[in-house]
Amino acid sequence: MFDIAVGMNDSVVREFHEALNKSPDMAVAVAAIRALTGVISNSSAQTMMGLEKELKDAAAALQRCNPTAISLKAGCELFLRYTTRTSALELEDFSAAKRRLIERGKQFADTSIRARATIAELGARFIRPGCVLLTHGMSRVVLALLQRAVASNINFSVYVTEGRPDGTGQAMARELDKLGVPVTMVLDSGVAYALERVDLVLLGAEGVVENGGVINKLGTYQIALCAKSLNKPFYVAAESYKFARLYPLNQQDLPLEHKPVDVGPLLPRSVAVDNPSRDYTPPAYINLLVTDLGVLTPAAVSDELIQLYV
Amino acid sequence: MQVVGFHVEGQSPSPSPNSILQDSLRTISAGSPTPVIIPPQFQSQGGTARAESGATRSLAPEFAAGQQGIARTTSNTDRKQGGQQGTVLLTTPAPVSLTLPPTAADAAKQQQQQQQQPGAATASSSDAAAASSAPPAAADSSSTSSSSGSQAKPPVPPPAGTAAGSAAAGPAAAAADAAGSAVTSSSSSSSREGKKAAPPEGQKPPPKVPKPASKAERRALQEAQRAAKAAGKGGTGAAAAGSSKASSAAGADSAAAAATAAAPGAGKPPKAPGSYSAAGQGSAAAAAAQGLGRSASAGGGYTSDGAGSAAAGSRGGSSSSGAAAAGRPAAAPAAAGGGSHKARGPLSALNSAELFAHLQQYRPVSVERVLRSKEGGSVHPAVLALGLRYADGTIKGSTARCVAMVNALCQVIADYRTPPGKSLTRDLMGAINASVDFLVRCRPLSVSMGNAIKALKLYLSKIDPAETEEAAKAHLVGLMAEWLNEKVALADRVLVEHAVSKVYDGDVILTYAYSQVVLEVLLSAARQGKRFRVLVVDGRPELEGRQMMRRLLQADIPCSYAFLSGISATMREVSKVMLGAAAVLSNGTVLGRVGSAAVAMCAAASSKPVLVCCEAFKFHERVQLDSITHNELGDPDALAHVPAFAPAAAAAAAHGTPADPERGVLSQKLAGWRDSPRLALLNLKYDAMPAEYVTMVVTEFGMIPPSSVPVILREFSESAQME
Repeated sequence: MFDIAVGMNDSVVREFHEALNKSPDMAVAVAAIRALTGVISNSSAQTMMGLEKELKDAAAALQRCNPTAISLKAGCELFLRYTTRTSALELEDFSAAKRRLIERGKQFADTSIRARATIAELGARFIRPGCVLLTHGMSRVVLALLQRAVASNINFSVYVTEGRPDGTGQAMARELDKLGVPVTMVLDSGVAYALERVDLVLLGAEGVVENGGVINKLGTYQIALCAKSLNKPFYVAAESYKFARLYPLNQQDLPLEHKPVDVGPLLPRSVAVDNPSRDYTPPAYINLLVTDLGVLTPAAVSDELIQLYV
Repeated sequence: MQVVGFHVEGQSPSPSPNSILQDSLRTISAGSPTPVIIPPQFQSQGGTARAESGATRSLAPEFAAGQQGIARTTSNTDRKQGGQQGTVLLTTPAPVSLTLPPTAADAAKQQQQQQQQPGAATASSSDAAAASSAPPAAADSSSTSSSSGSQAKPPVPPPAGTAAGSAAAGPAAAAADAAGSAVTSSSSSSSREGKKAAPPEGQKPPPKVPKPASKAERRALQEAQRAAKAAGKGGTGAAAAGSSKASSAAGADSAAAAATAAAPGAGKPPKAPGSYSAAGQGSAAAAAAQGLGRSASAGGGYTSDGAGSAAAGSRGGSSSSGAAAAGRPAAAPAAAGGGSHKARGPLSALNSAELFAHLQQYRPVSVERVLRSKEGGSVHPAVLALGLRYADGTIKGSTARCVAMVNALCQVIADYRTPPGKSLTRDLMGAINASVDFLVRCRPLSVSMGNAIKALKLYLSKIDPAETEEAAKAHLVGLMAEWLNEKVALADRVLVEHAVSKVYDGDVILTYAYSQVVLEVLLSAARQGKRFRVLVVDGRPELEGRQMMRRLLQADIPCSYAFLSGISATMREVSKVMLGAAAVLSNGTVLGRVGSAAVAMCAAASSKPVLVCCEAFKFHERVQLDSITHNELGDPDALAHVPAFAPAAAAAAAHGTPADPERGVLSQKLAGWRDSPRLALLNLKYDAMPAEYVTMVVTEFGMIPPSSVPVILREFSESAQME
């Protein structure tokens, strides 16, 4: 039985990686959700309890692939919650209940896949002709949103931060240039300088936490602070599967994720380097979250999560 | 602090229904140690109460008003509008029609104001109107009565036979205005001590002023004005009526005597400070509809009311016992009328304490008093004991009080026998209400208790009438036990689990006063081997933090202890703040032990996360923006006592006041504070911290931002409905 389970989990992980390799544009959480849907249909469990256990194990196995990815964890949790929180569990007929679960799993996967398009549709309305945006990091959902705005013949220009150390800003700039959007690159430290010419700030998010704050690439928080003090609207585009059951009190309270960084050869050895890869932006600095559930205030995120979990 | 006319606009759904409130007010001393301002929502109740009990009397001035000339009516409406507009400077009186020259009383008052209170010479416009409308009769009388301080001696003993006519109200009203000015000058000192000599400024004879044509006309005019005011404010007319009837009084000396005589009859709290409350009670009893004890004690009270109560008190001397029953219910609400009309006395006795005059005033509860009171005999012994324990503070904390109350009410239910011919659902509801009323009288309800009562009443209303009495009672007790188990015990356990996940090694956790659930979180975190330190911040007068500290030290948790006053210095070393709460409201406002808002604000100013631990049964739909509209007053004497450390104890012993082990020693600087007209001690129990200072609320449903409290309330009530 144990071996079967391990084999099962292996196949889930394999499926997950295959899906990611096949379409690099796919979000990890969506790949995980697809893989989990597969678990239900391939399951050999004969009881609801057994099925739930298999799902949980598979989700745990997936999370081990990338333990610090917030969206992966959130996606798996939400999938489990969404699929198993149904009246179908009370059905006496197991196969009927299982069918219902598969149905709900597919439904969740579909909405997750469609999420980006929905957000693009909802969020493009915020891009007015002639406006200047500032973005930080490489976000596929922001890109989709801007693509949508370009498609509806809205002229706008974008400031992109450099995005040290992983150069995501450069990737973003390249993508935007392909769309024919005028792009200006500024240093990460030049945000405050550039912000007075900017009309709105639009970013993606790695995860959205329970109070409506976001966890995103390092530097997001300071951009939010700058935007607040210059009274520029700060919008975040995030799919609902990134809503995590996390509630950081402050930056120290974040799940750690450090990436190695090259700060140059001139640094004495004894100087410590603290290079977290992401930071937490409290909800007070966020004007709106554009999600596939609609355009939400940060407080509404908490509302959605409570309804799902409590 | 400049507060002129305290208006709380909009909703004010109280946690305790108005009936309870009035009920409890009724039994409180009519005399509050502090000047009174009553929010409008209570004024209207007071107005109706007075109108009912003084119905016949109020007829006279209204009738008179109907007979008045048009010019006067317009002047009245002018004044009425002025009163509604809120505040004007006294130096610019409310619009007075051409028929009315500025009067002596007005001038004298202005003079006094300018002399004694140049900076703060403001008053509610109705007072300005009252003062300016005081016709020469008032001026005459003010010279006499002001010479005798606040004792409001009617200058012209009116012929009793004319009482039915409109004219009869004249002298009394004049006396009212006169005393009003006297009260204004001598402020609360005069009302606190009826026989105390008025300050010299009160004796200043007002200048002569031209008089209107005839005496009858003047009287009629006053009545018209009064009637108009009554129409505008609802219930002031009754006051005028009261004073008109009482105008047959001989004099102020007899008024004071009568008042004192009336007080025991009214069954006043023995602790009520001295003669002023006795006078207030007596007047309330005699005036029946007026009950101006509180405004009389309120220093620069409403002019006509102040005098009315004194005059009425004299009349009521013989019949005080009979009138007491009528007067008492009216006493508290009637003060409402006086509240917003209040004149700014020259002493400006307005201090922060009077902002809280609409709250249930603190009243010591003792076994003898409870047993002597009417309801004392009929309440269940368990409730009786509980009420006394609430009152003496041996049971405190919103969770503990709620649990104890549910247990006591379950005993009430268990011992309940349905009287023949009555239905259990209805009659038991009455029994529960009576018990709750008694508890409220001992100490106002907390939100947690209110929610428990709500649940109990919901369960009771759903009892199947077909069930036998025993089965129904067992069912009910079972449901409440389940409620306690689920909403309190289980919720606490789950909450603690959530909160412990936010305690990390190396944390320095600041907590304030004593919270059972915060203590459990810290103890549980320590049991899990987390290494952290606790900074216990404490505040006077309850010093509950010491209990917290003792419990933490017993569990070998390293602690520091500091006072609230030193919090900004200690905040730097803190990594997070963890607070308990008495209630969390739907706008995210957290009600906590007084001082916790200051802690939260200081933490927010230093960007430290503030965690509030509160079970969902303490959530409430109410929205509250300040700590004023709903709060609880504690014993003001607690502020006058300081802990008995050596120097204080020695000083106190030197003055012959030995240390009381519970309360400490009476601070010599505050000894006899009740006799000081300019001093009121404010002992608030709770304060409200705005949601912006709260990082998260930890509930049994997990950790939520304060903005999500309404979500929990919504989901919660839905699940309650589904049950």
